Amino acid sequence: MIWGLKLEIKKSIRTKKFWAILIIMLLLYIPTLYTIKTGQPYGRELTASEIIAALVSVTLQLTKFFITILAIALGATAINAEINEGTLRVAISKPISRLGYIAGKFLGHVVMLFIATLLAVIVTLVGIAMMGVDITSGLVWDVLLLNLSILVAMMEFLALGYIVSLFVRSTSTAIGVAIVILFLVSLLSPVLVEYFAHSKAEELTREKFGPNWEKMDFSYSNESGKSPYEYMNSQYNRLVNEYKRKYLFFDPITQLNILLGNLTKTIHVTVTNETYYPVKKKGPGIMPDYEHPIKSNVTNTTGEGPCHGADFEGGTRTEIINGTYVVVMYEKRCYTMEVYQGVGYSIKKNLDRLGVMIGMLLLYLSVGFYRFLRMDLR
Amino acid sequence: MAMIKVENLVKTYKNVKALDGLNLEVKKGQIYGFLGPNGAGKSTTILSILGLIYPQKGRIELFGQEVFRDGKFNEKQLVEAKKRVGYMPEHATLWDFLTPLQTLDILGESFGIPKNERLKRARELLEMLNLWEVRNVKIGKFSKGMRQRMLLAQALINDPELLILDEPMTGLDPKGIAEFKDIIREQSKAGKTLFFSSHILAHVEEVCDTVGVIVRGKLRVEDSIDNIKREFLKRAGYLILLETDKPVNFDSVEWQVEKVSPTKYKIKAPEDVRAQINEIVWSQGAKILQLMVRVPSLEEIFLKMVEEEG
Repeated sequence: MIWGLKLEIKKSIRTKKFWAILIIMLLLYIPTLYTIKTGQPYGRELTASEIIAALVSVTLQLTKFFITILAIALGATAINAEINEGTLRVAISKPISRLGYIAGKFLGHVVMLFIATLLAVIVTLVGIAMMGVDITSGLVWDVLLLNLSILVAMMEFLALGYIVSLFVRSTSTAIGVAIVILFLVSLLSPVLVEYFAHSKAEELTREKFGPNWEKMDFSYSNESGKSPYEYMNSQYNRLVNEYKRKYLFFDPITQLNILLGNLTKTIHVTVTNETYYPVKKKGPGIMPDYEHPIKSNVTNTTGEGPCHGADFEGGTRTEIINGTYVVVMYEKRCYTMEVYQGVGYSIKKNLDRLGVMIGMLLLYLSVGFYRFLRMDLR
Repeated sequence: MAMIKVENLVKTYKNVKALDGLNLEVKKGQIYGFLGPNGAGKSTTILSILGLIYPQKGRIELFGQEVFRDGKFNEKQLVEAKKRVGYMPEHATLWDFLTPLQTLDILGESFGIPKNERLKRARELLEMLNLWEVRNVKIGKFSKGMRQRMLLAQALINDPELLILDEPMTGLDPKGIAEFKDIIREQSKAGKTLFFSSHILAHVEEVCDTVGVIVRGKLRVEDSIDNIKREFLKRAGYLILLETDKPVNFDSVEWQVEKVSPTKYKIKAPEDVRAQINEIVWSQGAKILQLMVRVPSLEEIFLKMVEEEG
């Protein structure tokens, strides 16, 4: 296996293909960084977390179109080209096992992609530094984790490409087949899933609001306080998420999106402002002495998820403190906030997706390897 | 000891039977010519021996160890055996973007040969094959002949006991063929066993001590080259077409002479008799207008053999 790995690396660094892929990958980061830079709000610099969030979204978009094509095309010509040229016959006639050869070769490709990934990390960090953001260890870690997750998805596409290269003899046909597979796996199936989620959500809404829900008043709301449209939207979002997790396990891009989908955490902060006033006599009655507050308390409490109930609440209440009446004026404001948690947080939260990705990678690899072990190499 | 022993090997590609119960034995020190028309199963046999394709049935032994039996390779034995084998494939290229030195270095590494030793060996081979001058030129820029020599060099990197060459002389010019035959003889003198295939009789002439003829997936004849040649020509013979300016009398010869027209003859002889014909025609005061010789191809002879066998 080690020999196959060495051979692949030696070959790769001497081929134009590898350098072309590397340069394309790095060039992709220039528009990425530029896009982020132009999205900068007036009057202040972007924070590191905003940059990472933007980087993740733009990189994932690019990954869909370029890097996946590169990885699958690299895989799709991995074995068949060697069979056609006859180099595979030379290599396998040497004292190595078939499994050792193909495992080493795949590992060699992964090492090359990993080197490309590391270079991408460096380019990204340099770009971020040039935007005037301090490079912290957290930032480095985030960029690295982002690229490593992309690497796992790329390995899946590479393995899919290997399968194609083991079943389709002609390299040009293989690239075509690979692109069709990419289309089916990563473009068509998500659209299908969204379509089914939409129909199901419509059905659920119809069950709940009757067949004429679309004609209902927009402000209509049922006991849960949601209009039919709002209800349908929430059902749709829930179903899309559920279906994508359940049925698109084979698509690296969808899983990568879910894996990196929780970069922020929704929290709510409740700020309570309480002012205590003494009670004074005025005429026949009593009233608070607003001129002389006893004390003022500001308390912040944070909690998971969005605010529950009203965003603002205020009023007065009376309390007895040390035997005397005190009037308390209180104001309660709740803020819902998205707090940046980092790539590591998102991965940890969706660790099952990483498991699915690695599981599918192993499945794709075993299909390819099994085929390689059984096939005629002529 | 048998270096290669193949028993009852069967290989079918989809509907085509490539090997139909092939039996073959190559003994230590032999130069074995594996002769057969295109598509007879020569490459299939070689690829099976090296574990590159899976036959359906049969048995293969290398150096006395069983490496294949009934559809299954013994991967461990095969890897061990491959350490002692050198293989030169047909229609193959090496990695275009590597130089001869880099290629021999990485391929030598697969045998676990230490770095300095394999570089020394690479130098010897490149010098022997006239490739030392271009050791740092990428193989992609090589001519056909240089590529062929490079393929031989990689087969010799481990100083193998058994050298398997698949159509090594195809595409070479007569000078190249002569040089190649010298190399084969030298390797044999150095104690190697050679097994090489060809579809051209002339390629196995003068070098092989034993020739096996494979037709339609079966070994039909196995004999010395002289016996095989005699046998072939007895069966097929030379066909000579002659046209003269006036009739010629061929009563004195033993060949089959057919008169197509008064001045046109069809002559069948066991050997090339153009010189004798020339003499006869001139001695009778006639002139040759046209003289054509047609040697049946091996393929025709082989097919005839198969037909005769039924």
